[in-house]
Amino acid sequence: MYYLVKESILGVEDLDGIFTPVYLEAVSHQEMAASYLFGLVNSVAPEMVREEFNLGFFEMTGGSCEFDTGEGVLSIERENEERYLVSKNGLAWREIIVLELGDLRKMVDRLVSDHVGAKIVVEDLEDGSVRLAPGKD
Amino acid sequence: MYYSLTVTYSQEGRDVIPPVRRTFRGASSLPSAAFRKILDLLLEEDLGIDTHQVELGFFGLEDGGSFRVDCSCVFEEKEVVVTLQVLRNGRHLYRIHFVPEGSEVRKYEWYCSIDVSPIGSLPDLLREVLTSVETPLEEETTEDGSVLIREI
Repeated sequence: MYYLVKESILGVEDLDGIFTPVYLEAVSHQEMAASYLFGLVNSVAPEMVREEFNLGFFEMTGGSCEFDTGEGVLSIERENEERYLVSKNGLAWREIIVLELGDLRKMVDRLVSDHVGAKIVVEDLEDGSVRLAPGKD
Repeated sequence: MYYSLTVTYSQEGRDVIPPVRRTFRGASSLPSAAFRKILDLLLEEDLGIDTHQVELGFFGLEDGGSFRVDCSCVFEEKEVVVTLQVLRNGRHLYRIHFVPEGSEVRKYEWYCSIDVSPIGSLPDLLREVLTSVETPLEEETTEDGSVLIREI
């Protein structure tokens, strides 16, 4: 199963924005969110190990968990399985949206429509691969 | 031919984070790819600017040249004049600048730069697009010019 992850910057007036979305494979929304959020937490706290993160993330109580980064506290609030809010020392820092896309074909469809302003025909083949051909605009 | 368009937004003289947004499109030339991107941006702003005037101005541009198109729109319940200015710096680089008239709305003035570069054919385009996918995928170009993508 493929997922689309969008990371938005929060809390910086007039500078809010979205990083380039990434398309990833995982077995569930929660696994996808954990994988992406670990990368984010690890960028602030390089000493953090996956096991420690997973323990906090998968066993969060009351919909949130906290990590001591050594330079402050990073907290993750799970609004639902698609939307996560990350705060740094109590200040809103990042919003993560995890959207389920589906199989390879659906992921490629979404990827092309998100990034390519030209008509591309996408079709499934019996062997599981996806064929792309130029279409007429 | 496919082109890569890198758009850098700025507001009040500061780069907006993230500073660049990269998209791709098919077109017959660099200026044509840039023009279509500019039309996309105008549609996003929904300012009701006359796109025919923009087309006339854009394709009449020479290197280092610019043109302006005015339109009026309703902003916070008041009608204001917004000027779109397009500058061309070579065939690769364009800058579009929105200037709302009136001191109260000037803070919404913004501009963006559009950098266009050729990518190549469909396989070249997909190679670029697939960099957003972190799962390893295999690509194969077929004799008819289409591309097959499969999971490894």
